[in-house]
Parts: sequence; C-alpha cells; structure tokens
Amino acid sequence: MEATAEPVRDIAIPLEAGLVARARKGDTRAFERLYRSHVGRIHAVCLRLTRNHAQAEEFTQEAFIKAWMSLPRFRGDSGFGTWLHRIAVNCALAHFRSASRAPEAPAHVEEEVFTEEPGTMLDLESAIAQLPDGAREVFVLHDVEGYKHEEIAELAGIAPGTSKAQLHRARQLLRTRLTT
Amino acid sequence: MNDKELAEIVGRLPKSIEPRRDLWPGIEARLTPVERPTPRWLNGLAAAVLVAACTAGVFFGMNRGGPLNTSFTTASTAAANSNLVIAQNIKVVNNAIGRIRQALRTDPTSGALQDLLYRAYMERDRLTVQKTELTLLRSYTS
Repeated sequence: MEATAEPVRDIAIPLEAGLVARARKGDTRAFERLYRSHVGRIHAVCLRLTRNHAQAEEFTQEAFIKAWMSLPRFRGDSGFGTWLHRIAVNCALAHFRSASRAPEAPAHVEEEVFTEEPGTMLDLESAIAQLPDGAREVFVLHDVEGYKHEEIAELAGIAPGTSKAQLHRARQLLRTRLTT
Repeated sequence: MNDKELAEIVGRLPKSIEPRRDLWPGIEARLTPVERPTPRWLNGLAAAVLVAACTAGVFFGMNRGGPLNTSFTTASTAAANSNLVIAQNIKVVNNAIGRIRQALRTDPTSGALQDLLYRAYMERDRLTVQKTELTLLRSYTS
C-alpha cells in the first residue's frame, strides 16, 4: 500500500498547483475543488480549537473566504494547504483573543462534540475538549497539527516559553484524565 | 500513561473531520470577483477589433453617400475598394474572435474576454451587413 501512496501525492501536488493558479484568476470551480480537498482538515482544527460545531463551521467558511480574497498575494512559498491551515488557525485564535477581551459573552461549549470516534479516540477527543483554553490551543496546534512552539507563539501572540509551559500542562492533564 | 503512549494515541486521531453540512454554497455566495489586470495581448486584440471597425467605417462612410451623386464607374470602383477593405477587416475580426475563444477556454470566467468576444461578434455582424450593402451597390452601378 505504501508503494501506491507516493505517486498519488506526486500527481496531486501539480494538480493542486494548477487549481490554485486557476483560482487566482477567479475560477470558482477550481476553488471549489480546493475546498473539497481541504475542508475536512480545516474543519477538524477549527472544531478542536472551538469545541463547537457552529463556530467551527463559521471559521471554516471564513478561512476559505479569506483565502479566496488573499489568493492574489499567495506566493506559493508553502503549500496551499499549509497556507490555508494558518488562515483557519488565525481566524479561530483571533476569535479567542476578541472573546477574552469581552468576557461577558463566553463561547458556548458543546458537551458532545466528538461522538463518532470509538473508544480511546473518543475519550481523548473529550479530554482535549475539556482542557483549559490556552493549554488546549497549544496542545492541538503542537501535538495534533505539528506546529512548532515559535509558530504557535506567533499565531497566538504569546511567548514561545508560554507555549512550552502550556503544552506541558496540557499533556499532564490529559495523562491524568486518560488514566483515571 | 507516559508521554510516548500519549503521543501514540494522539497520532491516531483523525486529521480530517468533515463538517455536518456542505459549507460550499455559503462560501460561494460570498466570493467576490477577483480583479485581474488586463493582459497586454488582450489590449492588442481589442485594438485590432477597433481598428477594423474604424477603417471599415471610414471607407464605407466615404463611399456610401457619394456614389449616386457621381458617375456609376466611380461609384462602382469606390464600392469595390470599400468591399476589399471590409473583407480584410472581417478577416482581422475573425482572427481576433478565434484568439479570444481560445483564451476563454483557459480562463472561462474572464469578464474582459467575454466583453471583447461580444464586441468582436457585433463588429463582424456590422461589417458583414456593410459588405452585403456594398455588393448590392456594386450590382446596381455596374
């Protein structure tokens, strides 16, 4: 199975570059194909950051609309997916920052956001959802999505040291919750 | 549970979670048209259509009102000259139409190309009518 996976990726990258080029010229059909390829990944990070289906869908839509508007400035230094992912994370984190400035309107946290994952995965998703905001953001971005502390610090407007401390705290809380 | 075991189960989390509904219609409704600069070659095609229209217009205008007031021979020669110019301009416009349609295949949403194609078709129709009128004029005067 490994042998067949590689060529598919090789073909997918130039195909995506072609779609991006067409979308940059205003082709909405090409942009829809990019949406179909990436929506799951974008929605997943938004859902894990917000713990709320409606908000996750809102930020997913916002990310794609912002990406469309910013496409003329997309230079292709990183992959389209990476670039889009950062836009989505920025949308969600910007919301948290504005929400923290307006504490009278806390985000509604849904109790059972992750209901389709069996066993341990469901336990883990629930445990992540129950983490405090700062620890959850850093854990999702670092351990689930693979961001570096420096990148998280830049995105979340915190010091890299704070990011490391939040990750340590998140892991500790998760280990406790998953073993009890 | 240690860090390694935690990392193992975190690594098995799904990277992709589809939304409960299709978000595309909502996104598509909010996509504003992208402003694109007009390429130079497109300006060239527009100029070709315009020049074809103007030169044909000048020749046709010069000869349209005059033939009946001059001798039949002069009118007939003028009509023949105009017809030749118009035929050449129809070729120019046809060539432009071909290039615009080719460009539209790679950029089907381009408003500038669609406008130019529309103008080119209108111009070709106008030139064709002029050519027919001049042919009739020649047949009357010869």
